[in-house]
Amino acid sequence: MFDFAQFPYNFAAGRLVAGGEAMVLHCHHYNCFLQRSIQDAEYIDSAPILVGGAAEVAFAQLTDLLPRTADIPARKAIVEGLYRACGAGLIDLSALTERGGEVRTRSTHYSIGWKEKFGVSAKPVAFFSTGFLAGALAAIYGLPLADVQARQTVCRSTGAEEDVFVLGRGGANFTMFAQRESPVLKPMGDDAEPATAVDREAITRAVAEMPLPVNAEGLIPLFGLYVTRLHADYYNRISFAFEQEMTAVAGRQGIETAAGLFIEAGHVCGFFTFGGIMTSPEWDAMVGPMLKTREDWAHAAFAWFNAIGGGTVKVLGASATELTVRVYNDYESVGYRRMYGTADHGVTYVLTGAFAGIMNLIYLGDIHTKPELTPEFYDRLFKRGRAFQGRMTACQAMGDPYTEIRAELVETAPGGHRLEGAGVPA
Amino acid sequence: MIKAAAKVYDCLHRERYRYTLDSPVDDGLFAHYADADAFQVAVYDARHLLPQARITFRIEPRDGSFLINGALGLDYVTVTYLRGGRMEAARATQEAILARLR
Repeated sequence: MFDFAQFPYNFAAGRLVAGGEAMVLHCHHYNCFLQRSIQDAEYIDSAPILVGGAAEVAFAQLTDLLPRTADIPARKAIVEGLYRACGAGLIDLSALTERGGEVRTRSTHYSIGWKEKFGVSAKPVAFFSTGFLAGALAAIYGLPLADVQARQTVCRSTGAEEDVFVLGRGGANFTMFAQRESPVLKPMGDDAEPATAVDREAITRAVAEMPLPVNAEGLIPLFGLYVTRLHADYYNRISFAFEQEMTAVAGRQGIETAAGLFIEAGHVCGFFTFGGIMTSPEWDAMVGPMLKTREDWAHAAFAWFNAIGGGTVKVLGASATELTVRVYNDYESVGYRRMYGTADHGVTYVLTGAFAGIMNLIYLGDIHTKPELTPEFYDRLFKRGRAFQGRMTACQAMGDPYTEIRAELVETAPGGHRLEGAGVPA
Repeated sequence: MIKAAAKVYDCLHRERYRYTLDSPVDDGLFAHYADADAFQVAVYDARHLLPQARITFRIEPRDGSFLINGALGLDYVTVTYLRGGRMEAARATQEAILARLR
């Protein structure tokens, strides 16, 4: 049986590594919004990227985890357990052979989460699961990943009763990416953080120890969301490969377009994930007694962030108009450098958006009053009038010793991004 | 006793209520869910790290029809109900339990 508790949290780097893969918490809002943002660019064939990104990390992770287990059924049990512990859903691999097979399930995070968030989809959406299964088939039987095919033929997001994935042999029908380099981590600096009544380190440790409750469907309903603990390099690969495709199409403009989409996805992450956290009984119980000012809320939120596997944040300043944080080993930078070397532009998109989102919730959204976290509230908070907007002033992916993010209260530009609550067909 | 019941927006399309109680929740609540074959009660105690923290809990029946989140000492709990034919019955049962708490 697989259990993330067997893998110690690295507090110095803000990372949880299992089978060589860094794992990070996100929720179905972010997962589905990011995927839809990538798919919305119809001039890019994104499906092979989305499947290939998942196949890459699953294959690498399972190739690390499985060799200690020779027995095929025991290997399958580990894979099923890992998938479930990720909050990705339920899979039964018992019918799988070296030649492939069919995997049917009624519970898949992306299929269910997509329908919850966007309504019925016109096409299957569980690309992560498709790629994961491809990687799993190859790793279980010791096959080259390039000799495996996977596709989803039925999806609950379309209104079907179940998901069906078909696995087989043959040349990979998804993108095969170049081998990643080993991750390079930076030492945490001795940055002075403002005094606060909040015990930041204790919060981080307490949250990291808090068990994630996986339900009978292999999902993690927590804070009013479906939470996942997926591979950081899955998010990195699909984002940066998309960015590269956009660059091929539109040059520098492509990077800026992709950056806007990813930062918006970060807003969604900050609003829903941290909104859910900061209105939860768990927050009130563990952190609530320490909170007296809005700055305390900011310090507590970033201390909580430091336990989710995204890197380590040091808050240099937080006020009603400005936030400055340094992030050591933010997962986007670490992943980018593994995949593509030193970046010529900042790539810490998600955290740039998410941290602005946290500030919006605390200083503009009065999150301490437990407002309803509706799509309408999101649009009101981020798209109308003044709002915090984040920008990178240093980025570890560019060779800097840390990533620095500033969020400032500014007038939001009218128009531009689509509204978060607006649905589009997949 | 339930002082107030507020329906909370739930982005998983379930029905979620925040019940404010007359007095803080104590472990007497657990007695109503002591049948381990029917209910799963999970607690998390972070006081070794955060001395002021309260013990959080989750209570879920094996059929998954509802989920109670709360913490000992807080004056509210949230209960999330799965939509379906038995939702009203599940809600009535949980509200009756909360109403009897002292």
